[in-house]
Amino acid sequence: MQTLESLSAADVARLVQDLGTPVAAPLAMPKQVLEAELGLSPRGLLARLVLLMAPRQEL
Amino acid sequence: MLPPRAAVARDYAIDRAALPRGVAIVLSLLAAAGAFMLFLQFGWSDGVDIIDVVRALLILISTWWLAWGAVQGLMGLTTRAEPPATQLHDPLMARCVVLVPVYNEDPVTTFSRVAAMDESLQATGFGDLFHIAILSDSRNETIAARERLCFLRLVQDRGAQGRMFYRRRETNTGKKAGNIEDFIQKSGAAYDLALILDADSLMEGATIVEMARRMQAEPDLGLLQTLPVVTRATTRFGRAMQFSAAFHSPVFARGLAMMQGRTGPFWGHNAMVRVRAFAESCGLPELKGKPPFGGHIMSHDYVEAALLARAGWRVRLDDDLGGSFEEGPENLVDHAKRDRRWCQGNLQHVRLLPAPGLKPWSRFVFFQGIMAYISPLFWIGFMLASIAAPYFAPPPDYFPEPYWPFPVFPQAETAKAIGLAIGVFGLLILPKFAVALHAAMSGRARSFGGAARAFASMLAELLFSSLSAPVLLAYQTRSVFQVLLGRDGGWPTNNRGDARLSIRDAWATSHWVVSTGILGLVGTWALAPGLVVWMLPVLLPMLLAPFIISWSSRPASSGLFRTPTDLAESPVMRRQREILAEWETEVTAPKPDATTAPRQSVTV
Repeated sequence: MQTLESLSAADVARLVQDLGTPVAAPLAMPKQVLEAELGLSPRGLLARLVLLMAPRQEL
Repeated sequence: MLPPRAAVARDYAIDRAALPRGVAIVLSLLAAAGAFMLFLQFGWSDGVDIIDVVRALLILISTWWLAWGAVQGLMGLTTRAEPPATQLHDPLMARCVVLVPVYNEDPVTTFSRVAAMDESLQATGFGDLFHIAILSDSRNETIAARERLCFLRLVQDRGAQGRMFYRRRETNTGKKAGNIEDFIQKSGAAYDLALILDADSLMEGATIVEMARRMQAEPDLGLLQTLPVVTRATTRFGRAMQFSAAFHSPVFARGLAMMQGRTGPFWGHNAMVRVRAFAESCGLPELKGKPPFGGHIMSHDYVEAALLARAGWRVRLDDDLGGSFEEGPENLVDHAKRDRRWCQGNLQHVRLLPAPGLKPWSRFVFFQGIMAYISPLFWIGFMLASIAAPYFAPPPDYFPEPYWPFPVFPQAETAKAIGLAIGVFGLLILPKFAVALHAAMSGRARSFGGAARAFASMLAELLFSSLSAPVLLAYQTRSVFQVLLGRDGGWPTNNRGDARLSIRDAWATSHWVVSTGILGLVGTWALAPGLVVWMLPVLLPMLLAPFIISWSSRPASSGLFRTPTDLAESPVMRRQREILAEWETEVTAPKPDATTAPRQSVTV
């Protein structure tokens, strides 16, 4: 702890940046459709009844 | 990435959860219908009027809701928590990251939990497969500075360079869900599984490894939820809640697990997700409009569970998994603050009820969450309608038969009203007595200090919850009205510090409850004096709210409310306590001062 206590705030920030930055491995996370304008159309009703595949991502 | 075809195919087969769901729905509806009929007979004893129909309908909804909870508890008593029948022979290969989102929490305590969990994980021999990432959304610079220092201490102590990470976001867009999403978008491809925790979560390494094994063995499992045990409560309120959670929750969770099918719950923490399934299914959009109903989704966990199920993934609560802990609010005001957030989050789900493609059970889960918050309104509506009822009653007709010279007096139906009250009260307490009896007979009560102590604790908790419930319901009702009126409650920091509240503090936050109680008492006295006695169980605790809040925030000293973790501390809890004690004396960075520390306001 003595070593850490002697560090300046800038040193601490730099060390944390060096040691703490998570692995870079991007992964897409598309936004889901939760408020589709399905209305009362036959397609909308089928989608609500889970008889059609749900839309997976925003266009 | 899609769930394995075979698993999706099974989704359309007869769901084993259908029977328990059907039984629970039918039984609760029968109880509600019985209450409805009984009340109509009582109400119409003095003549038919519309207010009696309204009251009977309110009783119908309220009784259904109570019965639904009771049936869930009773169903949980019919079976035991068991591990899933899956062979776990394959060597564990999955790469897993443990995510610890933090938001203005005390860094020393939070990071000591991480250190203890890492130690526990390394002891399993599978530590190399696990990384830990602390995801800071802290807005307070002093706290953030301490987080950085604690992180360096953590890496140094644990020799964890390259397997422990810390990053702080510039802006906390999307709150906790956005914090997790940000990590997955930048680093998610490096991992197969992610264990999502809260800042106050603590889990045994063996439990985490077992979860990873189950996820690996069942490729259609998108999310695995554990049943976290509330620990380390010190106040009277906290101890009562902790006991109730430890004693009753496993039984109710078992009932829930029987009904979950492929669409189990996600409670936002102490749960493991399949990273690619989560990434592809759970990107949450902002809802149109402004908070409280628009904007980012507050209670994201329910929605994420629904979205995983929508995409064909199984979401499951494994209530046989031990070694999963969390901490709870220590006083009634902190509980109400958290509840305000949950209230807004659950009511916001009304927007998602018609969301395309959701499983019917997911929609029902949203509905349950909404009902949990609006159900007091039905009781209040019933009480107000009962006060007004005498003014709507038709004048008594003592000579209903023409040319009949003798008067016919209305038949007294008071016995039916008393029977109904006993029935409703029974729905509230019967499951608790049944759990106590079951615990005594099965030997489970031993881990609560023996059958006699467990029974005494159950009675004390029942008494305390009867006193505190009207106060909590007052807060809950106010929260519902605030949300309906468009007031956003924001995202207050959880208060995990000193919980003790003076009478003055308690008065500051509950004087409106007292005023409402006085108004209710005077109004009932003036309009329907015969109902005063019936109203007292609700109104009296409201009048005493500051005393109840203050008294229950003080340290508990009785031998009641013992829980298994009090009698046999889990190894990871013991290590965390030791590490915390060591660090508290050593980490000397400036503590948050009065100007920069987050407000620990007692008002909600």
